[in-house]
Amino acid sequence: MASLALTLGIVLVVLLLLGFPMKVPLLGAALLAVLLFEPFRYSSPEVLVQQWITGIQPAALIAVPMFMLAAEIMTRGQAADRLLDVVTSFVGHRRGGLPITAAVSCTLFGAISGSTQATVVAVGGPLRPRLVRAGYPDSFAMALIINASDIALLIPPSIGMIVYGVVSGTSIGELFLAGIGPGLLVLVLICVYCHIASVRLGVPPLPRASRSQRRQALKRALLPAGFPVIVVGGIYSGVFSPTEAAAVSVLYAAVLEFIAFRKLRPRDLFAIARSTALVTAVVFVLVGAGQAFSWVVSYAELPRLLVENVFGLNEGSSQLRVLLSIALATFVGCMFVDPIVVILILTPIFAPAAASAGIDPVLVGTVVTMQVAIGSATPPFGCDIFTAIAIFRRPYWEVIRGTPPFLAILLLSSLLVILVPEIALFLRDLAFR
Amino acid sequence: MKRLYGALHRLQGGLLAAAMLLMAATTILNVFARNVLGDTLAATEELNRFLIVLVCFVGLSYAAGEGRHIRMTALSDALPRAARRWLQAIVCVTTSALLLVFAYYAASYALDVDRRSPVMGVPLRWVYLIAPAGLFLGSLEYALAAVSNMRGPDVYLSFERSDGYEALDSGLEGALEREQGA
Repeated sequence: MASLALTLGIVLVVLLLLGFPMKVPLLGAALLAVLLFEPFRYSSPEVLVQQWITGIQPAALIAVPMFMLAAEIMTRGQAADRLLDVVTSFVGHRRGGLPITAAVSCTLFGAISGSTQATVVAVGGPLRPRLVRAGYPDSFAMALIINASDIALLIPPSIGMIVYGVVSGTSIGELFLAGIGPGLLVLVLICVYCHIASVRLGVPPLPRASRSQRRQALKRALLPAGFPVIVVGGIYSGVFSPTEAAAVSVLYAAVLEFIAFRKLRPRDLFAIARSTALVTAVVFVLVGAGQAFSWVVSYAELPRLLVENVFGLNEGSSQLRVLLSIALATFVGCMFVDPIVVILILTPIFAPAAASAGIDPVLVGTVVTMQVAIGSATPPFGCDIFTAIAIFRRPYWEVIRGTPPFLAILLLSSLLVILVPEIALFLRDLAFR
Repeated sequence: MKRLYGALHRLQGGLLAAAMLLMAATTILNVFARNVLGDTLAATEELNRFLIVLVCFVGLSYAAGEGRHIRMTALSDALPRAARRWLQAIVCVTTSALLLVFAYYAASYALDVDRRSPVMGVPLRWVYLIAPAGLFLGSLEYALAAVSNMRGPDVYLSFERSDGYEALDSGLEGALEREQGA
């Protein structure tokens, strides 16, 4: 059994490092296991295809492409820019105003989009040039954008939480609400750091916006601000399920951009749908391949082996110990692989340990999502870093140079959430208990 | 040959866009049905299941053509270009072979399914046959990408797309100029 675990691990790591598309290590390792190893004597490789197809079909997963579609419409239209303008006009004149604007924008954009990578693109595109022109070093600007984008995965909607909810059978609505507290905690800490950094760097603040400019910006942002109302309000009040909230978001985004703002034309719809389908496919191929790999791991009963021998967890382990192990495993996993793959593979591995320690699955989901977000912004191979390299066109070292202080902030906030679970569970308890 | 490839690629793109729009329409319709008419439309949920299979497997091939599948490039980026090109050729050949094997298993799985969907009564075999089709097309995409890499001179992510780090180096300057120009 140990030899199977070792083989899976080695195939995974070697193929990843060689630069294979991420589905190949997963499918290749799974196929090798089924063809060569004892526990699969009576299984045929067709079962992997079956796992792939059933893995992508749960009804709740439809929320993923729907939220992506809404975000794509808003990013191509005006809504994202309007949100950015209103934040600038209110905090731009403070010390560290521009980086704080970037962090707050990431949070607001996170309320439209459920992915960190989309946020890096939407907020980083317009704000990085502004930050650099204002006098902030480029590596600070890039590190800020990559790390503040983590907040987007915690603020609902969240693709990470949808996948975790589906895999673990946890209520996605409860998970969404539990993400808000930790998301705001990270935002506050990042803002404090931005203030200190801008004092130290001696960057002057922006000129203060006049009252009429502010009123103007506020008015223009009023309609885009309807998103959190639909998503959070709809789920909090129980009017919408997460999937329904996603569908209504699409409708709302389309009405705003095509009818109210008239920024987009009907013929843009086709290109928007096609590029959303492309991103959806990339995600769902990983979901399917991850599901096939995860099936192999569970079928060979590797979870207990791994949890007991690698993390030293057993029946009597304390909740804190289990949570810290889960956090560490997800964090390290995401430094190497895509967050969705990590959630798919690690959730079933740790589920028994978390259940026997009696930890609230919503808390586990929040901690996992948080670590997944942080890990994907962490060198060496966090995938947000590669998104940043691709859209900013800067070399690897320059992109990661500014990350250490942000990483420290993010790790501090996850420790806080683990030690004080109420940060996450407070809002959930208010709505559902 | 190039024209046939282009037409096939555009056809897949069109299919994906249509599936996505249909999925959005049915999901929105279902919200309306549940909250206003007080009844869910079971057929829409089933249709969405079919559409997601289509988006996943046709999208696999389309995304391969666009060179958009997620991969980790930290190590390969450090290599000189010639080595990167050959490494990429090997990656593409291996990926192509693996997808071909999976296309075979997927076809054998789909042909074995003898059920109809519970609501609309569609034979599931026809839906699941999208999987081997998509995997086979994906395998072709990677085979073509391997050919491009062997021919050179660039490193190619797909048949027609080079990875283009060198070409687009001064992104920030460009962005600043665009902002000032606007």
